[in-house]
Amino acid sequence: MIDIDIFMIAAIIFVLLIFACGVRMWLGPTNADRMLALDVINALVVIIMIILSIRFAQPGFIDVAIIYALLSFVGTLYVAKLIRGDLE
Amino acid sequence: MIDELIILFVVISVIFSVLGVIGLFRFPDFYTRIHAAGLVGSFGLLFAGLGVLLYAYTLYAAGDDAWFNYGAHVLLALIIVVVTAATSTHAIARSAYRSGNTPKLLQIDALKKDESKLNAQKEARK
Repeated sequence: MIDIDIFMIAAIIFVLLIFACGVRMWLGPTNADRMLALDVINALVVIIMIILSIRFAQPGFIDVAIIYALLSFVGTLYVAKLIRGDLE
Repeated sequence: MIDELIILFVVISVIFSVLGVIGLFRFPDFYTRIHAAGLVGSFGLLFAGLGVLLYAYTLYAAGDDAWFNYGAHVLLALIIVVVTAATSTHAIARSAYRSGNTPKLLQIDALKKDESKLNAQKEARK
């Protein structure tokens, strides 16, 4: 339908942004900065899954994206508890 | 007409995500970086999802009924991410404050005053 392959270009740009967030995780002065960069990476991975699912016409990718979003949410809450010092 | 709209949505999503990641590097403080992270989580994802929904709707309007199911799944993913992104950002900021990471440009710490008052009330109730 669309002649130029806009979804593939967008997915490649998002992958480059994931690497940039990895640099932030490497540098990050505090643990909270690292967790925030990981949260951004999770959001970008969900965007990439949604975009590539329409690019390759695979509806199964969307289900993987939903499960990934829920699991990353639980992981973020757990690490937030860890940073705060509630887990001994 | 609708092709240009899809391209516009995807380009807006890419622009907001790039701005968010640039802000993740350029802002001086954790509490200001939260703003840049929220840019990726809200606008980047919402506009990408809107573009994909529009694409699926045009395929559905062309006569293939399976794409309606697909659009419902995309909508469910968007709702889940919008709800969980706000909650997880709140949790990270709260844990950062509790672990002693106060903002760099802070002059009056009103939250600390509130928390000490709350702790005093809790002690008095005991």
